[in-house]
Amino acid sequence: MLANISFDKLPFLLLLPLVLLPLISHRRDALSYSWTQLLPQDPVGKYVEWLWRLLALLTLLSIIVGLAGPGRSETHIERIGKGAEISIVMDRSSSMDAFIHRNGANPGKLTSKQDYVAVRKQMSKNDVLREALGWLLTKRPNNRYALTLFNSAAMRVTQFTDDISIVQAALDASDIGRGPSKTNMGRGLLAAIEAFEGRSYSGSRVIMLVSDGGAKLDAKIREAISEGLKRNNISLYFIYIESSPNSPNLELVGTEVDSTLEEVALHKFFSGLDVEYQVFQAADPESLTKAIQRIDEQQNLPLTYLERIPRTDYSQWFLISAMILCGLLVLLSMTQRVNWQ
Amino acid sequence: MLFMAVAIFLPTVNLKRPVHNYQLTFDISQSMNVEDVKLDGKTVSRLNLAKAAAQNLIQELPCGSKVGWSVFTGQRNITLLRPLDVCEHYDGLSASLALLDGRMRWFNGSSVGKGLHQSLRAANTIGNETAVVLISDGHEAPPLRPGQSGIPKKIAGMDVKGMVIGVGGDSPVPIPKTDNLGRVIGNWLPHEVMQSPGGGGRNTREELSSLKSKHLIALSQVVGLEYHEIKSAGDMASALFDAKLTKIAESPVDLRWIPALLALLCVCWRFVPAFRRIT
Repeated sequence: MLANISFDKLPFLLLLPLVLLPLISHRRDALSYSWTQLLPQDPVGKYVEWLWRLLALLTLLSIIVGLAGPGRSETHIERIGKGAEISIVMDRSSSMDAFIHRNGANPGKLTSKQDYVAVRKQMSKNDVLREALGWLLTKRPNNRYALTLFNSAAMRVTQFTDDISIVQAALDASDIGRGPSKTNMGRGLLAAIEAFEGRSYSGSRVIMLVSDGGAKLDAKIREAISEGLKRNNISLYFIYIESSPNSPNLELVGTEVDSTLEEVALHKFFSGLDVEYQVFQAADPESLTKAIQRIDEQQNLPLTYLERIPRTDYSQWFLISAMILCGLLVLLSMTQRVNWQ
Repeated sequence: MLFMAVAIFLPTVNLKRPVHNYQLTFDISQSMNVEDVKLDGKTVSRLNLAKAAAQNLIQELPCGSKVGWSVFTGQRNITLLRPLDVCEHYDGLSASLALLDGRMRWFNGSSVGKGLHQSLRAANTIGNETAVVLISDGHEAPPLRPGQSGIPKKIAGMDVKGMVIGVGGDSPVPIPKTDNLGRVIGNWLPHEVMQSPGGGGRNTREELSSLKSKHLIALSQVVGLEYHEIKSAGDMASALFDAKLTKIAESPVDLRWIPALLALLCVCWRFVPAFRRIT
């Protein structure tokens, strides 16, 4: 306990020798007397005198310690809660800046004021995604999140962290400017897997892949992804945002969907992996939010995490005690003879 | 004395203090992989020196200051993080900064002027008087035509302050070539890179790279930014502190120490030994 005490403003402790002042016998308020031997013994006065010195010493001590700003350093407590370690892999290519289509309708030309309002409600895929992920961050602050962006390269933006605001700031940043046009999902996935490397297993592990397109992955990358997911025991969730009404419905794959499409090929590859995999098709903001809610419901298993206990400051307590001691000092000093009159 | 002690209950007050808000922009093009700068006595890549300088900056800035970052290569600038408080999010910022590397590069060459222009626009979007700090070696790939400034002239309406930081050695050295996974696979050769069209067909040695301070100075002047070169991790923070690109913001300040110190003085005064005058 004591080992965790730290001082905010250490230099103030240099004032500590001052506490010895009350122990020095010569005092400014001493009264002159011709011959002290003539004074009667005053045992009570002696006690009062020493009590006064002791109180003064304690007062000085409290003020100085209070000034130095003592506090228990930030600590971490291991807790077991519900949640998951979620590595978010987000498409940050220019296609994500396009409007998400609503009920298959294109905004087209504006004709009336009502249309204008409807268009204003149009959000890009990226906007909608940010909103949905923001919802998840606020609802499950105990989940651990890592964020990876990808276009033709992969950008690991945040490592798994307990600092939700940094993930939020990274999400918010993705609406500034446009991304490059090309995508290379393989690199994004490998980077997201890398985020788990070397971490001790503390609860369920999830990669949440969000993209509006598929990808052709070569055999080498496929193998690296398959092996990486399995070794780190990661479940994969693919949130597929439809770009147009002609996008294939991946949730129906297996029946009669055209498998030459990149998306479908990707989905088939994921389904064949030796890890838990699920696809969520999102056509509009509502279905996207729903997909994320469904993932959240499934990933509510026990998770061991370290809760950060912020630094607690004790200086106020020392200052309060200093004040009380000061009051006592004042009371005591009333018993003192100030002059001979 | 009692009066002094009561004053201890002073709440924290909001005082206007200068704080720094920076959006750092890292050049992550291949030339930033050139190892021709020193960090703690070791030779490291330009990007690593830039990262060390950024780490040093978030350490040195006073609480209440905010730092975020972007990366640029090719024709684009991607904002990775909006500015966050350097004290409250110190651990998260440090961990994220460590993740920055050349593998993020989505394009091998880079247009420094466009990177700078887009950083200014991004800072303008972020608002809050965020200043741009662009860290680059000034190496343009493909090279500019003679007379080209490399930056769009129109920057009207953007009142963004900031600084361009030059990083890199003075003598031209080969640029390492990396593969998809960030592994070095030799150096760029003269016939593999585009030579300057101003060279009249001659080899203008664009395969070699050094700090192009003239180009960076010219660019920073176009947009009204300051320019500074760094040789060590601490240089960037001190240049920024000197440049006073701060904004005045209210932040809570604990002033309890003033009455407490006065109380301390009062108590001490009672006990300062006085040498009595003998009359």
